[in-house]
Amino acid sequence: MNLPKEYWYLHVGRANELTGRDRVIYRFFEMLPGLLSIGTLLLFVALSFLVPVWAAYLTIIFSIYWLLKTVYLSVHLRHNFKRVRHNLGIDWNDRLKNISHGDVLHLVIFPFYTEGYEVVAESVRALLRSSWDHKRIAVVIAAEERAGKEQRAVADRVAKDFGDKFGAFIVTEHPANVTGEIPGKGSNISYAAEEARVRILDAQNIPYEKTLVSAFDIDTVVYPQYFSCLTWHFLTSERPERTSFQPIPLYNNNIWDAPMLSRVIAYSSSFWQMIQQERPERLATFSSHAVPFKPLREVGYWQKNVVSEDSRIFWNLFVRFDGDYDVVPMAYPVSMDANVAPNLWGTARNIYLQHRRWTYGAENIPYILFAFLKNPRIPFGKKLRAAFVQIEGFWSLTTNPLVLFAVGWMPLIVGGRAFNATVLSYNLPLVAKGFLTASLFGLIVSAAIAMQLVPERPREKSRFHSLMHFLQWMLVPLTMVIFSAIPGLDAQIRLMLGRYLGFWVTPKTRKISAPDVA
Amino acid sequence: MPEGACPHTNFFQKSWCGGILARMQPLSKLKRRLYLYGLISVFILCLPVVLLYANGYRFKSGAGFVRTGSVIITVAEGGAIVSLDGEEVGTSGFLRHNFYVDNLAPGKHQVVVLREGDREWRRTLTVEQELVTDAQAFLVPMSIVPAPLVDSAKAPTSTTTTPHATYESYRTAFLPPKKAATSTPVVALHNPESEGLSVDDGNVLVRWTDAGIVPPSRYCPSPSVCVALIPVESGQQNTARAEFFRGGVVYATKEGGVFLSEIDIRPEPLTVPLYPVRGADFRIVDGHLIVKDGTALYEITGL
Repeated sequence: MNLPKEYWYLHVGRANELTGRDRVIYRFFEMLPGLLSIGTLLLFVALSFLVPVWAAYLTIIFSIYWLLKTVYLSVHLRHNFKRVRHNLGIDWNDRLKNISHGDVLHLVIFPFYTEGYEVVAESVRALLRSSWDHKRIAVVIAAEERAGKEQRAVADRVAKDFGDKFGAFIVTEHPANVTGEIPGKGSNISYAAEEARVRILDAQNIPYEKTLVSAFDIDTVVYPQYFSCLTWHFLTSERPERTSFQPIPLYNNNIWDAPMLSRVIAYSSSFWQMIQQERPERLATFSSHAVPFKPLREVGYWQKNVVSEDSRIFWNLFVRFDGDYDVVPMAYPVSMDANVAPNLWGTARNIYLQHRRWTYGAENIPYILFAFLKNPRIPFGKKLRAAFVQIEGFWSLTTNPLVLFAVGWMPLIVGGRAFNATVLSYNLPLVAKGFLTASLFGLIVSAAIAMQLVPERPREKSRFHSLMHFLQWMLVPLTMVIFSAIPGLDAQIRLMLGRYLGFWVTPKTRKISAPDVA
Repeated sequence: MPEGACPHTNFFQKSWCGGILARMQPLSKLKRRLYLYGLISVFILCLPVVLLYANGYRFKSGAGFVRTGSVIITVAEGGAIVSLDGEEVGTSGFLRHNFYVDNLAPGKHQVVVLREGDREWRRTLTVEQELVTDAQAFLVPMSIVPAPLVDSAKAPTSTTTTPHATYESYRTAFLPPKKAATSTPVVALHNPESEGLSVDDGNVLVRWTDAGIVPPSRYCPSPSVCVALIPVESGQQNTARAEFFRGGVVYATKEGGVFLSEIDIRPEPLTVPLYPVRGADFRIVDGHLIVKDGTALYEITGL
């Protein structure tokens, strides 16, 4: 489907796809997140040398801000947890009884690359365990040509084993080396969606406006009432054609086999999504998400030339419909894999690379700012809020942990004897540490909630493992710096320098198959 | 409740799946605004209080907010009782060597450090608002007994002796240089910390030599006023020799013998007679303090 001419910029991925003044502007916007983050950290370093008293004041201010932010976010997390618990207890099929929903089709896309049969099959089996009519589920196994014939064979085997159990089941093979694309999930699912349109929707005369696309990862395991819950949200939405739907990604599939480091980071990611679910105006789609097919097609599917296609699709839709597009938080989970490699070092490396890819979502900032410049139809207030939320989000992601746990303490080291002779220099660690220690209550909230979200302890795991699931939260200050702030800064610096990232596929390895969620 | 509505069953399952039917709404905008504005209010109220606190401001009934200062006393040795203005602050130990006392009114404050077997160490510190005064306790044993050194080559085998080579190195350290540089004995040494030591007209002077760096507190009668020169010995006796030793200065006077004094401009720096015999001289050889009295050599130990 051709895009209207006035939205020519809708699929811009990088500055080098533009020319002239537009290219300069986009390039500047690409540099902005990195400039802001590095500028903040350098400012702290410079102040620590030149005016250590100011740097000390800023560190104390940051510490207070951090505590209050922890309180604020914990309130949101706790409320969302209650909502998730509540929504898991609801019979969504019962709720749908009085709503006409028989014509809704769920098109589920599983993009996969080199994962084994068991990983793919397990995700498909979960669809069969769902309480939604399987004949109203169309499954697309989106393989990659570049993965080779063996992987194609895996897809075909899955199709053979499960194909007759759903309304439709197709395997697509995204061609390799397509000009203008970067290899990755975006280009793959985009290709798969168009294939599904031709081979399923058009072939069976299924209306686009009654089709909901769930763009999953290959390890996404749905909870039994996911489709019913999604359908309910879709049908009761004020503007179903202007709304995407976001479940909560829980990384529970292999959580009992994941090392402590991986678990903390997995739950931290889930918790961040849970917090965002209570702040829908800040919410963009992330990871596994659902979007109605009609607007998805109108926007030309997911961008094929970006890394963060999951969040970018929301901004594509937001811009294409002139700011008239929202995300509805479902407060209902899907289960995915926590990052597990054969050894701890491999796990740490994978987590770093995965988080660098996630935080490369900063590439949305130049896109948003550029699109806002080009689209006068989006209300200015919406532009301002969206730009602020995105810029502030990526700025605080990288700078806050580094200020609180690293550069904020620099005045004590480089402030000189004159500063070290002040009461302020002695009180800085006492006061800042006091606020940071008080912030630990946020970890207690997190630990308590995580303990309730974790699947039942397998018999082969001892009580000690359960204890470690609680104590693991002590790692948070470390993980915030090493696996959040630093990869975030890494990603922003790459964007700033024009050393663009490609799509790094998180390896999925499991010791055992995902637990039965039904 | 539908079958299978509670995936990943756990011990909270029952409370999760109670068949609740009403849809739970996200946090309302009103509530979120209340939380946000409430926390912003807390931030605005907290911030000045915390910043003033961090700068040493304290609320005193009747006087309102007053600007205070602090002292930090460092005691390298364990088992010493530290007191400030007559009140015990604590006892030094394996893990505790620094005693930070804040909330002090500007003015003079008396620090006393007592350790069994050591001389009492006292210091009068001037506390100024928003500044920290520091001092390091200089603990010296109550009794110092010089140990006579006997050359192993000349002594009977039954007595405690010093190996001949070591004894010779001590003895030759006292020999006059082959060419006398000056008629007045002047020693100029440097501590690593930009300090110079000189004997000038019979007085022992320690000088802060790096004008670009604020000197340590022992050069500062009050935290905001520092001097560059500390007269360690400027009395009636004539000093012949002085050297830095164990954080202080050892010097020998023509009239009184060998002394150890700490380097501090603040009252009252400790001076201890190590070998109070007229005409005694000393040398520091490989970290050993050797005293010569006539032809006899002694080592001062236990410092």
